[in-house]
Amino acid sequence: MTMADGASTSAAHGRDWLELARTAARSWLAVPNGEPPRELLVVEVGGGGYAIPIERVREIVQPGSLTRIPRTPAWVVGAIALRGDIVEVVDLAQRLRRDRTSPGAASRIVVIHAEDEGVAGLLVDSVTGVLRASASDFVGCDEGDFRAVEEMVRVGESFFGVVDLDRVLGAGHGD
Amino acid sequence: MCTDLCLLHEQRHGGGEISPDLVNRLFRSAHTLKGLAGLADLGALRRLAHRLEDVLDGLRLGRIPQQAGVLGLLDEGVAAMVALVASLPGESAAQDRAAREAEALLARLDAALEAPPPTAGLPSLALDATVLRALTEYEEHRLRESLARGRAVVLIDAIFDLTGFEEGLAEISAALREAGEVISTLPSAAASCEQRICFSLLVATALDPDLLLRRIDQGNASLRVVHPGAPRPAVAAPVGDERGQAARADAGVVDRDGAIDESEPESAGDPGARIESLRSIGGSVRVDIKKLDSLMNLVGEMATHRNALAGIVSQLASDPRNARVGAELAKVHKLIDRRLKDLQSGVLDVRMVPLRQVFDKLSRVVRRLRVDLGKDALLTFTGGDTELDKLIVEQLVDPLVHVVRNAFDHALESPEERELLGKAPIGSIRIAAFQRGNHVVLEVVDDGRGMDVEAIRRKAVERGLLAASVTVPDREILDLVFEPGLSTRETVSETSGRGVGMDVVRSNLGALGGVVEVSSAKGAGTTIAITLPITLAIFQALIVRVAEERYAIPLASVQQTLALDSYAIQQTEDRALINLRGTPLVLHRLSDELEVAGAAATLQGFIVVVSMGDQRLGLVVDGLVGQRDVVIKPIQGPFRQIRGIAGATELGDGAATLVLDVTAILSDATRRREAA
Repeated sequence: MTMADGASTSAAHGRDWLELARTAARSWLAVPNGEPPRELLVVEVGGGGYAIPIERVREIVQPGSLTRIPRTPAWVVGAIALRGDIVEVVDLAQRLRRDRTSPGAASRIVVIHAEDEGVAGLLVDSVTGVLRASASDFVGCDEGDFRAVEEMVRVGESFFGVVDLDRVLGAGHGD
Repeated sequence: MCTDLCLLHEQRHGGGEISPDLVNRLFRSAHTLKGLAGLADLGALRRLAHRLEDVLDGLRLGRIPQQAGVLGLLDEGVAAMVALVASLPGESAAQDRAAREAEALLARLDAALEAPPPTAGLPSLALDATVLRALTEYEEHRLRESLARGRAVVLIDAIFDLTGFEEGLAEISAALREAGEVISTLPSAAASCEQRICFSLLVATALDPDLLLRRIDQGNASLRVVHPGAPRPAVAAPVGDERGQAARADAGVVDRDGAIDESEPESAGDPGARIESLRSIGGSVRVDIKKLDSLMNLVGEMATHRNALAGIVSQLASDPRNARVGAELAKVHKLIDRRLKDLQSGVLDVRMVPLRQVFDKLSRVVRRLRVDLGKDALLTFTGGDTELDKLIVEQLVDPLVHVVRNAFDHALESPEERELLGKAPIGSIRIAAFQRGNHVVLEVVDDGRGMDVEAIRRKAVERGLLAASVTVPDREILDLVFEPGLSTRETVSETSGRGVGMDVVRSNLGALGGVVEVSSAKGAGTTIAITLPITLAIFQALIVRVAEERYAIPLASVQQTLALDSYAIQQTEDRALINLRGTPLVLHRLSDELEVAGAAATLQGFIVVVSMGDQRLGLVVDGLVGQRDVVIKPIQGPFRQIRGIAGATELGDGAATLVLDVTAILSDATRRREAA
């Protein structure tokens, strides 16, 4: 994101690029054994910020028409057709014990690679960006009744809960 | 190869002639095996395959007479090869044993090869020496064989344009094959004029030679009788059959300006009719079913786009300013639509396999049971050419094996018992497959002891499945054999009889959209009828509306649709009924079934009468949207198995539409009714 902003004006180009390089160098140095930093997608859900490991994200789509699925819990908000595939959409807010999401203009469905070969959708209020974090930025926590968030990632002064996707998408957890 | 060997035996036992093409096929299989074994450096297997190839070649060329002994040797050869291959990953002792057995067999095969060939000179024929000289040893043998069987031999000269003569030749050969055997196809000795080419086809036939020309129905062919054959009875072939074949040949001609369906299955019934010319060695390709699935998906997506296109066409048509463009587009749309349907049925056709594969497996199972149980049964099959989706056929094997085992083990009495009852000492199991509309019905019929309704009733009461006080029709009692844990068999055998099974059979087949029904009469036997959809990949669906939601109901399970307001509803305390031509039809609101909010409280709209087997239900919906081709997709996400929902599809509007699982809805409705 920073990169894209920097490239937009040529005057600021040199300075921003330098800044970016410094940040990058710092983040590499911060990891003792040179382990590369992790990338996470930051989403907003029920007023809070959460992070989703980016390697599990297949794509982000706008919520078109959702088809209700009978005999599923309320947190399954429906199914979408995604280039011929039929994908269930889970309301992340309800899974995180927050208020039900009412889809708005900024709402998105984050399509996630599920545990097996399939995919599943997560309905969020908005997608705010991507962050890079090194191992030292992660701290353990215990949020949610079924441990949907077990660690937080620190970025400057703010913390984002890292969503445990397998728990959130697991039919066996919660109601 | 096993399949072909089975056929070989069947044909021999049937007293008829062994189809030369079958022997050819076996010969090629052995040849291929030999090559593969050579590549894999499996000496024993290669030697065995080589010798089998020699023997088959001998049979093929008539050097070795077709006797039971030789055929037995072939059987043993195949068994020995299987043993060799099976022993490969195992310890060396097993490998050695298999190899020793194979070597012993080799010696016997050698002996068979040394048997003096029965040679007979060709009788004098009205045939050019040039033609005779051009015949290969195999062709000569076939000619001799045909004459020996009293068939007429004719020489047909056909003239074709140089361009496209291959097609013409293929057509004429196909037509001739329906009537006899094309022994040889030679470029004619007659001088071909410019831009034309002439072929001579040497044909042996049991039909009247004059009929042949009519068969080909082409002005460019002439016929000469080389040998009249043995005098024929007044009616050469059953008239009905004759007509059927002629009709088929005609259809082949009509196809010429339409799509030529190369893959059209050969005539039914006679396995020997599945003719491959020697040219078509390696003419088939093994394809991963996943590839076919992805092709099917693509076709499905195209169908979705076509639906969208249809929307645009109708929009344009309603706008006078765009009428001309609209008409053009409508024309193109129609073309695309037609081609897409061809493509769809083409892809579907590739997925289809004949049930014969399953039948072969069943006869192997029964052969093993005969040994294991020391009991015999006459196993007969009909309808092996009936085709089903490959995926369904695969899933069908286990349940069907179970049903047949049950029949063999439980239903058929011992020979002594049977004789006491005045039945034939050997029981029979008849397996019949036939197509009924969009479904294939498989019946397993035995003439055994039948099911004892009273015993089942007692057992069911014992198990608490049935209240002792209620009277239930026999048919419903019989249906209880599909309940888990209900086996009336006193002794549990290795083969079956643990009471697990029939319930698994029903649920496995139910997952395929199939229905199992049982009918039985004590002492007279049992019939298990399995009804299956022909394909799962694509089907026609009725799109219905409930409140603001739309659902797809497979058309195969829709009997009819009715407007609700033209029927008087009889409301009892727990259910609503209408009188549909004298029989009561239970109504069920789809909105209740699917928990749709905001549906009308009163019964209104339309009734969709759905049925599976003999169960029937009237689903009440708010509206009928239309009929569509639907490619069903699994639902991905946390909840993949949702009772009552078979999957979903996209109808071209970008939204998912759920496809109902009528089998589940029907059985749930029945269960609820019984519980109430």
